Amino acid sequence: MKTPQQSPTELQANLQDLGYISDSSIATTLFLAMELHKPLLVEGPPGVGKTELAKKTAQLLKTDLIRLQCYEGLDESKALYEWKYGKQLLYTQILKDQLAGIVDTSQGLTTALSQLQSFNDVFYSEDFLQPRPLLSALQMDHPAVLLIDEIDKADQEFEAFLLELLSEYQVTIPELGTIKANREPVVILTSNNTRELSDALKRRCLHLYIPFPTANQEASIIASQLPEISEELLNKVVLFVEQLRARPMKKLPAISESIDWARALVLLNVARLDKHWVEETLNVLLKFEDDIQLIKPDIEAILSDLDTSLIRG
Amino acid sequence: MDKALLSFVQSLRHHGIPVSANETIIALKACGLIGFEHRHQIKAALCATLAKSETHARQTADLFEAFFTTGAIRDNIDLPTLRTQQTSISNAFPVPIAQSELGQLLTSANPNLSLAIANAAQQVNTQEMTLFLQINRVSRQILIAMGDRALVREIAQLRNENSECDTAHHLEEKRQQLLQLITAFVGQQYQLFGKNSVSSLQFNRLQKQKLTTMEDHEQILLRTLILKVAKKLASQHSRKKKMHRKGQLDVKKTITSNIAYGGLPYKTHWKSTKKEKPKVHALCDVSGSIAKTSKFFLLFVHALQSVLPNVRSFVFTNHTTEVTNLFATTNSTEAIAMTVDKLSHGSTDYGQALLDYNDIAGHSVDHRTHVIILGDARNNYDSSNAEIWRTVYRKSLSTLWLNPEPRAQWNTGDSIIEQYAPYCSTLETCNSVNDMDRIFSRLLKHS
Repeated sequence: MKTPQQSPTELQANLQDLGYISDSSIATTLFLAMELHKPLLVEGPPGVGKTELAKKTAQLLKTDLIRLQCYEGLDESKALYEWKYGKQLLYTQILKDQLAGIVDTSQGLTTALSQLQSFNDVFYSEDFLQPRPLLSALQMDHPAVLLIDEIDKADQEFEAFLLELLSEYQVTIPELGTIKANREPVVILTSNNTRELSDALKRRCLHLYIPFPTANQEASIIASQLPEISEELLNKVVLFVEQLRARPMKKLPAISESIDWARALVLLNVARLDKHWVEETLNVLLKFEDDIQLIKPDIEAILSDLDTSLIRG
Repeated sequence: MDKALLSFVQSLRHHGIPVSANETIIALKACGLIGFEHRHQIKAALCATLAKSETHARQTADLFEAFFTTGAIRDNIDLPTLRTQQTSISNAFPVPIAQSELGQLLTSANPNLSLAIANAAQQVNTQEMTLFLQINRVSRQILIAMGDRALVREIAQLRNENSECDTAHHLEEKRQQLLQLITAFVGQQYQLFGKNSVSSLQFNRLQKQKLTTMEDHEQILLRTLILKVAKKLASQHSRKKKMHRKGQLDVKKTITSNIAYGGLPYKTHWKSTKKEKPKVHALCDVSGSIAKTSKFFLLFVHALQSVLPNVRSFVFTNHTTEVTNLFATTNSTEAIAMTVDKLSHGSTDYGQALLDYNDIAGHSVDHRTHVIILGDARNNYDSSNAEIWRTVYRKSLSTLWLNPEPRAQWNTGDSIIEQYAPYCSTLETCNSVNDMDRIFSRLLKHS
């Protein structure tokens, strides 16, 4: 792992070098999460770069990113560990004869039982343990970045189960006891706010809300992803998207969508953003037919607005 | 700085942001790590450590501005003005010698007024203020705590001796300036510590208040409250679907699927229970007699429909109309206004209304449907058609009748609630937000 960052400002600059444009609140919070060894809960509308933040953090620290995607019904056997049942069964079958031998030589039931019991834990040792993302993050020799993505999609029970991990960086496996982290990972949780998370979970984390970016930020984000885009097109794209976000739509276009849209326009060699091209490519930006129908009649008005504001600006 | 931070945390708590002691400690550590050079970094650090949601973060940021900016202005701008005024006056006249303690402080060359005000403010518990009207009273109390009485006596005495006394005039002027300073300070304290208690007081009161006695302007506040309740219900109940009961082996399934492995239980199957999302049918009487309650119930149904899937809404007077689509496409104010405007004519006929409901939605009532009806069962002496309600009761998971009237008025006059009562899983008086929250929580918990 790279040496720790000295200050939030340095962290922000380093992230920018990796192509992640952040503001001071993102950098400060991430810096604190790493320094205070606290999990970081990132909230915000979809597509503002929550998952990307974790990826870039791992890249910055030159360490592994271990990702756990949450969904309804996710339980500890998929998140933490599972016993390799098949292997256990196979081994007992192979060792059947040996086991029979042990039992045969014994004189009575009690002796046979006690002899068997001494082998009991063989099948519940770490050799038969299948680590899942959470356990592998704890077992790493170097501090990994653990991304628990879309925690709001998981059940409340799972949230409660995470509490021990988040506050103590340890988990308890009934057959093996408590496993502590070799090196504490940097934990980043993301949430789209589809449901309210429990207070207990929130209390254990630092909280970061990433809103939609300002026009300037968005321009630099798109420019960093698409260096070949012309400045005129870039400005128009950013302002157009900003206008759309002020409208009552089912799904507001996020940064990832404006990047896709800009990419599509560049691919199509569009030099000037006009009504025709917007209509042709609007489905890249908006994901609901209702939204597209809502915007279509206004495209011309929005574009002429942009022109006047650009001239004035 | 620690003290300032603790005071800031106090202010956050006053504004309804729950900050635990542990979070405060983390915030202090965070500030220690970052240092105090960059204002925006401190702000970000406090937002990250003390606030736990978007709204709280925004509130924290706003309060941060109010708290740390006004404090700086108070210390750096107000006092020097006072000081220059004082020096200009003392240049023209011989320095007046005051006898009282406060007089001496005011006329001293370098008065540390903000410290004195802060000390006096602690004595009179400025942070306990709950109402805007208290600002003047608290300011006077602080002035008195600083020793105003002695100063007033001294001024009066000086005037008695010589009505044109410059010292008295000078002291009085200083005293007025001090009062202004104190009022500004108290105003800021009220903004930081007192403002929110009013709305939380109002919310508490609204939760318990009878809906029938509610004023129109209070219904606007109520909207926020109802959305809160509906959201809470939805987040607690809407996502429960499939629960695996790991630990209980499904023996039958395991044996059959492992025949291929010679009976060795190679593939295991575990028992699971499926929890289906509830379906809700909400019927609301919108006739004039219970207009106030029904408006509020409609608000609740509207909120419920936007946060829970599978909610169908109906309104009735002497016939039933489905308003699910209207509620889904229009915001609550307009939807309710339109409903009341167009559909609330005519006198109530529960028999006909139930008949209509059965025609429209009777076939979709099944074992996971909750049917909720709000009405006073005042039927204008028409037939009750209770047998339809019985069929609905048998087919549905539960039927819930909410009656806005107090129990004592049931079955009096043209109220025929007793005819429907045997076929209601729950029959309750519902006339406040608290009632509604309690009834619905229970309903969804046991579904």
